[in-house]
Amino acid sequence: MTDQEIINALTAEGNEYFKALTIAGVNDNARMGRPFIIVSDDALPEIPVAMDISCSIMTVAGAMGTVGPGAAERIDKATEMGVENRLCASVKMGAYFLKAGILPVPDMVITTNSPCDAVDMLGQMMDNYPPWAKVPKFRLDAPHGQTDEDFVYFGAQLKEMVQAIEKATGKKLTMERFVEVAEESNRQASLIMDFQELTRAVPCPVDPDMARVGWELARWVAATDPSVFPKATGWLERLVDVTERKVKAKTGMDGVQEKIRFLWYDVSPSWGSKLFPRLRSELGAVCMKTYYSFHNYIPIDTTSMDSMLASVAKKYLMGTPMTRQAMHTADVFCDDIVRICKEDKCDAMIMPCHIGHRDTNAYQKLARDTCRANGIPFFFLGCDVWDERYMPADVVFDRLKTFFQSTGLA
Amino acid sequence: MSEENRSQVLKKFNDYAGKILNPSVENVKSADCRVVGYFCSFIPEELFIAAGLLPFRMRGTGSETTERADEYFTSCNCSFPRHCFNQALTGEFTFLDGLVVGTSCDATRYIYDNWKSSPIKTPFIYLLGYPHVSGVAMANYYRAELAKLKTALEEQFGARITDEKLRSAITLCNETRELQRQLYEMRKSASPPITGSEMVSVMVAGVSMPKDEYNADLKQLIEELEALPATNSTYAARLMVVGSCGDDDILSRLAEEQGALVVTDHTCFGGKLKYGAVDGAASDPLQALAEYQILTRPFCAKVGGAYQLRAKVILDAAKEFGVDGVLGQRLGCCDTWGGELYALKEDLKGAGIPSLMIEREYVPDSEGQLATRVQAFIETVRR
Ligand code: SF4
Ligand code: SF4
Repeated sequence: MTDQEIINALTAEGNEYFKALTIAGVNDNARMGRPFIIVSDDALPEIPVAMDISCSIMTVAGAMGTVGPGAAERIDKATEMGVENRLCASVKMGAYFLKAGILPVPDMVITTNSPCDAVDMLGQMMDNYPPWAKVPKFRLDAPHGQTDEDFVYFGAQLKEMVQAIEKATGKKLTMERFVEVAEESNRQASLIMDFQELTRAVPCPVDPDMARVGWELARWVAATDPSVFPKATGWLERLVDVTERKVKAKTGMDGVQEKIRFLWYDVSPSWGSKLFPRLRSELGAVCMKTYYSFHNYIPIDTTSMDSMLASVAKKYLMGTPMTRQAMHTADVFCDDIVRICKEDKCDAMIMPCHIGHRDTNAYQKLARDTCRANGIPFFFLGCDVWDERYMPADVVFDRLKTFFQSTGLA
Repeated sequence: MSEENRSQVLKKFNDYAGKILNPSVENVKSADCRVVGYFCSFIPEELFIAAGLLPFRMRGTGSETTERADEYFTSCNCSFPRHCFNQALTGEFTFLDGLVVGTSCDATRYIYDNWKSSPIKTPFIYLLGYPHVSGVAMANYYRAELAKLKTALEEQFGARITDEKLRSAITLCNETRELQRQLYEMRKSASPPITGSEMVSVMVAGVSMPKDEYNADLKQLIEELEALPATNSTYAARLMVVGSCGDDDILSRLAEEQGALVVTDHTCFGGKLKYGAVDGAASDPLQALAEYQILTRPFCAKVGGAYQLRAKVILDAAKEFGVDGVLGQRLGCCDTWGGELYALKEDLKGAGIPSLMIEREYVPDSEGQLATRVQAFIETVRR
């Protein structure tokens, strides 16, 4: 197999796994014979994997519902519910799935206030959803602070959550298994860091977005089906291998004459396949990072159960994309911009400003000022990452092209 | 109460609610007392009062545009923080010696960073962690957060906040809540002596002036209202207003202009404030404050695990005050209240109480459309 064939195979494999995250996948997960939990947002895979339970994520199923055939009609139906027009469509879709009554009854529901008001609201809808009235519930309070006290506070809630899961499902979290999973999770995290480091080479050897794919496999897909967890490690190892080879050979991405490297400081849009490949092929402009392809190494400390829970808490609060950006003060948000642009040698920073992201919409000046102070060309878009109708991909392409030209980058 | 007979106290409250800087705040400032602004009702005023400070609840009263704030926030953020921040940028809050922002709704929380980076020069800016679940562990977390704020206030303002001072502040604020409840009780009658629109002013004034002065004014108002003859019983419908913020009387006023009467409410500047009491005898007054906000009164729509309580309080009030319908309001781009009102509408329907849920802007472009919707609703619930 050529390197490109390996990359294509990894992509295809990822896409196949992602089917488990769709609404159809949620219904399949419920039939897997394992205890089945629905969570409002990100699913802390270490705990469900170690307990061998299946966790489906409402916002992810919602986001998946905004793509594919009939997506626009689905988004419109979700909007008609009348919750909030400019509510993030992934959450709107999740709320719509509830209202439409198409979700299986889980063994347990876990909700959280992170990363944003929208998910907080969705969680409350799940908590009070009449058909799930008898289903055991657990609600997490993710703090906005970044101190050890905050991590211990959240870790203590995770401990309670484990007890609640044990009670609801009869499954046990053993120290031995938790350590095993935590060590593998650390290994996955370090592979993602290796990949992130390797993609900093000029020219960029492999689409950095593959870090998102690997992270989502190890986290979301593994949470729905724990048997994917070790497979995700293997997937990441193959990714790092091929990337290393390409760096040594100094070969860039297939068919790309790299001229511009930029940061897309938001979620990768569901319509990104119409934008990013075109930017690469027509302008040599490579997206080096999005929220989900940017990672920090926050290892799980396996010394004791409490240390594991506190470090899983820290990893959740400071290492989960979107939670990292939306839950904390602007210094985290702005420092990351500077750091990414420096480390990834970005020539520009694009602020997509998804309409549902109250954080980015409130941080536009701070981000602009940060970029100006650091000599980073800045461009504000204002799009909807889930609903392309708000600002079509070709309009985004044209606007970025004009921006790159006017700043002398293209 | 007709315009000419309107009580002096009511006029004063109306005046205070209609602007930001009022004579009582000016008096306090000239007496060398410091003023600290705060966002959201879960931040205990008692802590500021115990530090010898005047707490001032932030609002955007008088704002007509968000022009200057638009450089910081986009139109995809709620218009309440945008108007408040615009007022700050235009110098309306220069009298503040400090500002405490809570980690409440996203849009309001982000005022903290923007304020800090802006040219507004406020000597003390603090972000207070506020839990979003109602539970014992969360009350303990909030106590720890309040303890940090206490230390920061002591350091900044050279004050000592003793338990004794806290208890006396709790007594003062409990008295406010009790007096407000007495006023609300009077509205249960067939001929309420005060309109919903006037009541908004009463409540907003209460978070804009010293509590002892406010309590004295409230007592006087209650006496005056008790002495009034029962004349106000020919309204088209008795209504309740629920929803976010609510520092203006737009909805009540529009309803009352159409012949209805707003007899109670459950909003962040209104009826939510009068609920329950802080345990003034508790050995740890900080813990008592935290438990009151997280366990007794978890009324911020962001607080999970408490929706059923919030809905029950609203449904009970609707029955006790004999309302014919509920007007719900939320501001555009408010995600939490979007869900809250959606769920509430279902629950009200289940209880046989008609409701109209309205999305509006903090400063509406025109009131015409709102008025038409309110009028149409009143027609459906008319007595
Ligand atoms: S619901 Fe009320 S207390 Fe909560 S954030 Fe909104 S305005 Fe503040
Ligand atoms: S209306 Fe909603 S978003 Fe706006 S300030 Fe109040 S709670 Fe926050």
